Amino acid sequence: MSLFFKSPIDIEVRLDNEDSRQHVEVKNRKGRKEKLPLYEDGESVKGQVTIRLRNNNKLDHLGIKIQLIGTIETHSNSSSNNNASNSNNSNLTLNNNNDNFLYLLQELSAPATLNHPENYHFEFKNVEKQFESYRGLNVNLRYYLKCIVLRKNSSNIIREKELWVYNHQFPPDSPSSVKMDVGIEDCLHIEFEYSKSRYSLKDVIVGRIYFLLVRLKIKHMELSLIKRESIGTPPNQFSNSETLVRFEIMDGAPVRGEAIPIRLFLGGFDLTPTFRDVNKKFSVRTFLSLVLIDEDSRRYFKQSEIILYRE
Amino acid sequence: MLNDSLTIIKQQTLLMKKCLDSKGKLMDALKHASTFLSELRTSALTPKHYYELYIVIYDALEYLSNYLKENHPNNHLSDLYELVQYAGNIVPRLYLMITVGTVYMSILNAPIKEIMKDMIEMCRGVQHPIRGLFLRYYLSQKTKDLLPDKSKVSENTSLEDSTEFIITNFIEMNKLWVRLQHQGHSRERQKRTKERQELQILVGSNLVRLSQLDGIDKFYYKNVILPRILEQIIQCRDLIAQEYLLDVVIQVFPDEFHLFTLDMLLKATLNLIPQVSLKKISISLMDRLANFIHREDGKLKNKESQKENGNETKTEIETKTEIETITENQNQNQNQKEKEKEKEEKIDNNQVDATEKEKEKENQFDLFQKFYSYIQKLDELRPDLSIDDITALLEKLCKLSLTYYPKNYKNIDTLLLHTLKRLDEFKDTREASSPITEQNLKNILLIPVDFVSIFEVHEQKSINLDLLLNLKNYTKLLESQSPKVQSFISQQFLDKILDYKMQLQNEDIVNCIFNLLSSIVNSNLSRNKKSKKSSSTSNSLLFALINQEKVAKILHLIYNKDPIENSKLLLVASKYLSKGGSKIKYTYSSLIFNFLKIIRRKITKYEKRINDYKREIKNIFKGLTKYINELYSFGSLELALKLLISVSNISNEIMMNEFTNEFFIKIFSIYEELINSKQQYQIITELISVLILYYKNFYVESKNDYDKENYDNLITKTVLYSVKLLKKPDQCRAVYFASHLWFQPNDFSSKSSKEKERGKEKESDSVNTENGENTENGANVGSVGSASITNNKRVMECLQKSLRISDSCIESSVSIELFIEILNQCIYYYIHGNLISAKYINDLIELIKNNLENVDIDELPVNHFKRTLNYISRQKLIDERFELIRY
Amino acid sequence: MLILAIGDLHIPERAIDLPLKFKKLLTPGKIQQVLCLGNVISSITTLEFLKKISKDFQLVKGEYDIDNYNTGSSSVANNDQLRIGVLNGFNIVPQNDPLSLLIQARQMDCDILLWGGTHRVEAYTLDGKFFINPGSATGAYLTREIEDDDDYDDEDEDENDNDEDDEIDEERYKETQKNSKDGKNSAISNDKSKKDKTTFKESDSNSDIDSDSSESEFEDEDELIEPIPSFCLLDVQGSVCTLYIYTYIDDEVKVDKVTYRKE
Repeated sequence: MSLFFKSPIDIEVRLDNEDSRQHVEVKNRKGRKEKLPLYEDGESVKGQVTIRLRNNNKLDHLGIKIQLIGTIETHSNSSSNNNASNSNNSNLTLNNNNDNFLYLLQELSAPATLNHPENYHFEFKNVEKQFESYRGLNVNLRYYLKCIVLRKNSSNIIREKELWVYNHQFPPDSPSSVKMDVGIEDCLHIEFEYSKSRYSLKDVIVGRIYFLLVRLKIKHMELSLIKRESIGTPPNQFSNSETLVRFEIMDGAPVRGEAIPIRLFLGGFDLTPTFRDVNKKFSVRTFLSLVLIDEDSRRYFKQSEIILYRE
Repeated sequence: MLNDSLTIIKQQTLLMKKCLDSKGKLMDALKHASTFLSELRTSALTPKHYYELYIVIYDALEYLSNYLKENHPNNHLSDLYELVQYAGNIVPRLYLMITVGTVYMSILNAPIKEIMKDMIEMCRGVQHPIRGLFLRYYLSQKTKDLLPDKSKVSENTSLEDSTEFIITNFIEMNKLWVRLQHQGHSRERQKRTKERQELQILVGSNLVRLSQLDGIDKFYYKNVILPRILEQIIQCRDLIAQEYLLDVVIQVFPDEFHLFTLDMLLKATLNLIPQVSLKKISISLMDRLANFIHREDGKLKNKESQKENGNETKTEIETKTEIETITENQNQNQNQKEKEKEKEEKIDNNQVDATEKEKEKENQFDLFQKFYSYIQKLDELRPDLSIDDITALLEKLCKLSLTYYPKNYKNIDTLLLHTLKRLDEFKDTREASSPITEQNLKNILLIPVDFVSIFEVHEQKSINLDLLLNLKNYTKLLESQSPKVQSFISQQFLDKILDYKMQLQNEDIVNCIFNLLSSIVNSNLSRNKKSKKSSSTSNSLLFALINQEKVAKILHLIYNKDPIENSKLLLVASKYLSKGGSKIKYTYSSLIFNFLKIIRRKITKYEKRINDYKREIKNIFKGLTKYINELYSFGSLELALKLLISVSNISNEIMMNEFTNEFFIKIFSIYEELINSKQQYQIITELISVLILYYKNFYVESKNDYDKENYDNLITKTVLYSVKLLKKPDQCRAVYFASHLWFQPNDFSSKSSKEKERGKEKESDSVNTENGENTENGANVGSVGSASITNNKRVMECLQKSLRISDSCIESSVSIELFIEILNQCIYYYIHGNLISAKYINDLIELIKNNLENVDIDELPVNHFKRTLNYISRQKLIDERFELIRY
Repeated sequence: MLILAIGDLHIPERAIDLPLKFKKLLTPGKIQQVLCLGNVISSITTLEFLKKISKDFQLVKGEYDIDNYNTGSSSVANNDQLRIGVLNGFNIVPQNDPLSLLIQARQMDCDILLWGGTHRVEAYTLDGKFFINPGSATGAYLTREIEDDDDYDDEDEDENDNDEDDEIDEERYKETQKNSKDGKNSAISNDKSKKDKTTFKESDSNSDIDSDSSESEFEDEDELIEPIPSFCLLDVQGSVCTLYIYTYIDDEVKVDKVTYRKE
């Protein structure tokens, strides 16, 4: 809306040490990359707002405040209940629902008239940032500073600045290996084993696949990482999946008794830690999918979830 | 297809190199590498074409390797090692991993062991046989010089890591290789077999690598390496793999190892699948061990040169995939091992060295026994084994045994017996007469011939007689063979004996050799010839004749310094020859002449005691008469006659006149059966010639009136035969030849005594003889008597007789020619004295002249006459007596 | 033109083979004509060997040749200006007698007479003719008494010379020793020079050794003396014949050379 009217002032929100602060590169909705300053849970958000007047006009305002908001934005598909993965379809009508789980406010200035540029310091101390920032297909979890200049007869002038938040977790105490038995009767029987079910994002998935029975003419085998984003709660849940990585781990057909090693470095991929029921709104989960492709290009797969966390 | 791929690879390689050459573009370079490596993902190429890709890519990656190595301080190899693993496709990923990993290994303080383990483990991901084999071959090639062994051990690594690494790779490659056989349509089996053979070298290269590791001793080999290799070979239950890999094992590892693990190796072969040719494997093992000794021997000599060669070959090896690589490696390996050993031992005295080793070998165990019990086990466990294979094995074992235990003939005899037994079991089967079995048996039977060269290098060569004489079962085995084989073997023996000019010096040897030759000597061969009449060409007849010629030659090789022994040996041989039936006509002459040689040896050597030997000689003469009778009974009249003449020459030489007489009586009786006039004439001529010679012993030397009487009878009879010849010219010539029987020149006395005075006496005698006409009866004892034989009357009678015969010839040119010949005889006598008067000659010349005038005659006699007259005129220049002759 | 004169091989009944060194000399291509003096037919292989030496192969029948091919007993080869007669020698009576040989040569009208049968190489001229006995190429055993040898003859030689020179035509003895007297070319080359003389003696006398005397001679000998292998090569150029005598003694091949010129 501000596009229609030229704003009489420039609002700049600057964070302390912003230049030296770590930034995270994130893709926005249009596919552009932007760099956002990174914060962690419990970290104070501190900075200053600078307001400059344009054309040397003075400005009367009814007060200036700054908010720190954590919100979950979902674009849910109202016309269809299916949780198909083709949610990128532009035909879908999206309902924007915002759900703020964090709202902090700080008054920067009482109503006054501004004759010259003014700086206002703000600080949200030790802010609990419960969730990690996330930009998904149909859901975003955002943290942003919102500076509002209240005006009398005209609309308020607002300036937002997005922050990025990482939530670090500690590694689980006892990584337990995952074993699974899969098969098609009389055709295939394999057993696979991953060293653990929880991985940090820089981790390596190490595992092994045992072929106990092979009657299929297998051409190759690959491992995929699939991210599934779900919104809402069953039965009104809405999910979609995205294959992030395809990784060939076997070429050719093994015989009974072969054991094929798995090793997949995760660090090089853009992965999201597992989010479960974030604010009862959405989940992001990652599945490891083992896919066998036979000579007739039929695919056989088995998925299993892995828990990713940020260390 | 191939060309497309090659084009892409070349392009991408170029791009990769460009990126590598410009700074900071390593990632892009890797991407290009990954792209060209993707070409190796193809399934569309045959192994050969795939190999072409591999070679090109190998070179490209080598470039990358070198780059990484040179720039490694700038790029953390461990990071790079992880980085390349993000490649989505496994084949390019692993090639890159290995490329980076091996560069990493070469860096100081690298976690070699871990990298090795990781690479070998990750390679499991490629289960496609051809791609997997090449990938693992790449791994093997790239790690070749980096694997820790005795010469390059670091803190954390050990030789074991390397052996483990290689063995694992070997096992996995073999599995892939075997699996290839079972893929695709069954109708393409043939093709796949071929493909697999093209790929076998990739698998085998692992064993080569293993053998190249420095520091493996025989204990480690026995306890760690071999069991695992054998286990894999046995487990894979694949024909090609089992045959090929066992052979590689045998070729690639040192002989000492094989000797040390022989039991294990042999036992393993029993667990192979039945289709495997155990023959091939055990033979290759036996060959290897047999050559070992030769190599050991040669080694001492070639020490120097080997050292040089060893280094050269080392650099060449590797990038080739030819089978030669393996053998080359093996040799090189061999050289290395040997060199080391030499260094360690540093024994200066080669001989001591050699003998010690030999002792060591003998002390270790009985190699023969091991193999023999193995063969016995085979008989038991593998009844399906063909006689072809069995005989091949037995042959090899014979040779092995002779190589290791040259003096242990019992071994060989055992094997021969075994062969006989097995042959018996296969009797009447078609197999038993297969060409292969036949060849194997030939080889076994030829062992005494073949094993000569090895033992007698500098000495006079001979057949391995010791061996031959000690093989009780040899003859049995030989006799069990087809006539064709038998005669082939005989042939070989025959040839070798002649080649070596090997003397047969005792009875055993003579018996033995003639037993061997029986198929040639005995008469059955000729029977065969007849039965095969249709096919038998003049060639086979010629061949048979040549064989007989050789047998005849062999008789000359029967020799013993003691004449009596020697004649015994000949007697032994004669018994074999007599079985030859009509073939004796090819061999008996030689036999008889050898007896005659002995008789002369006896005279020359023992002449003073000649009486002691007379009995023996009489026996020989009796024997010879018998042989000649046999020849006679086979219709060889002319031969019998010639031999009788030869024999009587010898009996005359040693003054056994009664024998000479006997022989002549025999000669006459056979002569009467001759029907060919030409032969008759020739025999008569010869009889006259020899009788002229016998005169001395019958007349001059003999104190016995019988002899003289006999001699008179003989010459009289001969003249009688002369006159009876069929053709007039023959009669005429024989008669004027016979005239010489009564004209014995006069110098016997001079020869009989050594005193010159006597000679002078005799001189006067001869003059007397010429002048006067003494009868032979008037001969005195001693030297004077010698002259008395000359009987002018008889000479004249003969000449007259021959003149009459020639005159009676119907053809005048023939008759004139004969006149001229007689004239020449007359001149002969005239030169020798006054036996013939000048008048007689003049008359004869006149006669010829008249005849020539009367008749129109061709040139030949005319010219002959002219030449004769010219001669007379020349004689006038030297001998005044010729002045009396006018024409 | 090179002519090989070879004979009295007696393979296989009296000898195993030609000396290897002879075989190596007698390779095909060098020799234009082979005149073989017989006693060779019983060995097919040897005959083949000889035939290979030259396409021009002439064979006369030897005393021991029993054949069905009707091989002639003598032949004459015309070479340039020389006529070469070939015979085995058994048809000369008395055998080996120079005068008889001369008669034969006259009959055959030849300038050179090759004869054999004695297994002893020799060569001499008589009455302007050249007589060559190439000996036995194998050194074959001889049943006629060859072994009355050197020693014996030496003595006799002198005797004979003395005896007969005066009485009988000198020409009979065209031996080396007499060359000077006769003024004719004579050459006798033998393995051992002594033997040359011997040859003649024998022929004159038809005689043999007194066994008593020879006994003692041979007592010390370990083995009987076998004839010495030999053959001859005749190089014929116009009316000149150069004779090369090859003998095989103690595993060595010796070559002697004699030249004959037809007058």
